[in-house]
Amino acid sequence: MTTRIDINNGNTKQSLLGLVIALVEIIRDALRLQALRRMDSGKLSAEEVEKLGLALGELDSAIEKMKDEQGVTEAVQHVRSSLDELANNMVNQVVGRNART
Amino acid sequence: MQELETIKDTEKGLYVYCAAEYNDTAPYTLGNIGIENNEVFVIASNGICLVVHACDAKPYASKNENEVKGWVKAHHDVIDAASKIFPAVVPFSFDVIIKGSDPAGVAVNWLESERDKILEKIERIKGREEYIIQIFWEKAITKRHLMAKEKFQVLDKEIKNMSEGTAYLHKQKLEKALEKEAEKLAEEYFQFFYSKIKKHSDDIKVEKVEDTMLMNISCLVNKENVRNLGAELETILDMNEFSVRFVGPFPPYSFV
Repeated sequence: MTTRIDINNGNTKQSLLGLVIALVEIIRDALRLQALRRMDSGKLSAEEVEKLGLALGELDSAIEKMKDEQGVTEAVQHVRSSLDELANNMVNQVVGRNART
Repeated sequence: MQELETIKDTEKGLYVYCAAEYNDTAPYTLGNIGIENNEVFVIASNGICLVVHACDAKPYASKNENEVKGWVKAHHDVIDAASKIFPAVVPFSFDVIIKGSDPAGVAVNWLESERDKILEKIERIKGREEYIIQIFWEKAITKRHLMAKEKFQVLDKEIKNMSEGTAYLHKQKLEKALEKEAEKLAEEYFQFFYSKIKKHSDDIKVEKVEDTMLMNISCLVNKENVRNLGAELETILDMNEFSVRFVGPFPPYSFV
C-alpha cells in the first residue's frame, strides 16, 4: 500500500524559512540579553559596548531584510507565538495552575 | 461523580444531552430536535431527569468535519431548548451515551445513585447563566503613555546623544523597562477588573488570553445580576483604553 503526501513546495519553503529565522531571532534575543547584562555589570569598555551594539543592530537589519525579501514575517511570528504558548503551557504545568499567559 | 459506562458493542443506547430538575408538569418529549432529528425525551426519577434520545450503542464519529459540527450544534441547541423548559440544566459534553440491554433502567439507576451530587450541581447553577467576558487593550498605546513618564523621557533624551551602537543597546534597555512596566500595569488592571466583575458573579473561570486580550473569563451570573454586570462593564469601556466583548447567556458549561 502506498501513501501519497501532497506537498506544496512554496508552503514548505516558507514554513522552513519561518522556523529557521524564528530560531535565529531567539538566539539574537539571547545575545541581546547577555549584551545588556554585561553592559549593566560595568565590565565592558565604552568601545566594547559600541561594538556590541553595532553588531546586534546589523543582525537586526539583516533579519528584517531577510523576512521582507522572503515574505515570511507572518510565518516567523506564528512560530514564535506557538513556541511562546508551548513554553507557557509547560511552565503552567510545572507550577500546576491555569495561569494567565 | 460515578462514570456512566461507556459503550463498546451493539447494545441499545441513550444519547445524553443534560441532566435537569424535573417536575411532573414539564413535558415528557421536546420533539424531534435532537442530533439527526431524533426525538428528544426525558427519563425522570424523583425530581430530576436526563434529557436523551434513543440511539445505537456506538459513539457519533465521522471523518466529515461538517457532519461533526452539525452534531455538536444540535447537541448545544437541545441544551438551550432544555434550559428554557426546565428550571436548571446540567449540560453534558458531546457524545455521552448510556449503553445496555435496558439503557433507560441504567439511566434511572444512575439518577438515583448520583441524586445528591446532581442536586448539588443544580442548586449551584439554578437561576444562573454563563457569560464570556473578554477585555482587549493595545499594549503599544499603553507603552506610548508610559513613555511620557519623566524617567523614560530622561533616558530617551540621553539615547539621542549617544553613538549608534551604544544607543542601540540603551534603546533595548528602555524597551525592556517599558515592557516590564506595561506588564505590571496589565496585572493591576486585571486585578481591578476582576474585582469589579466578581461583585456581580457567583463564580469566575479564568481562561487563556490571546494576542491583545488583557482578560478572558467565563462568569456564572445570577439572572438578576446581568444588568448590573453590564453596567459595570460600561465603566471599563468608559476608560477608553479598553474594548470589551460580553457574550452570552450560555448554559453553564464551565461550571458543572
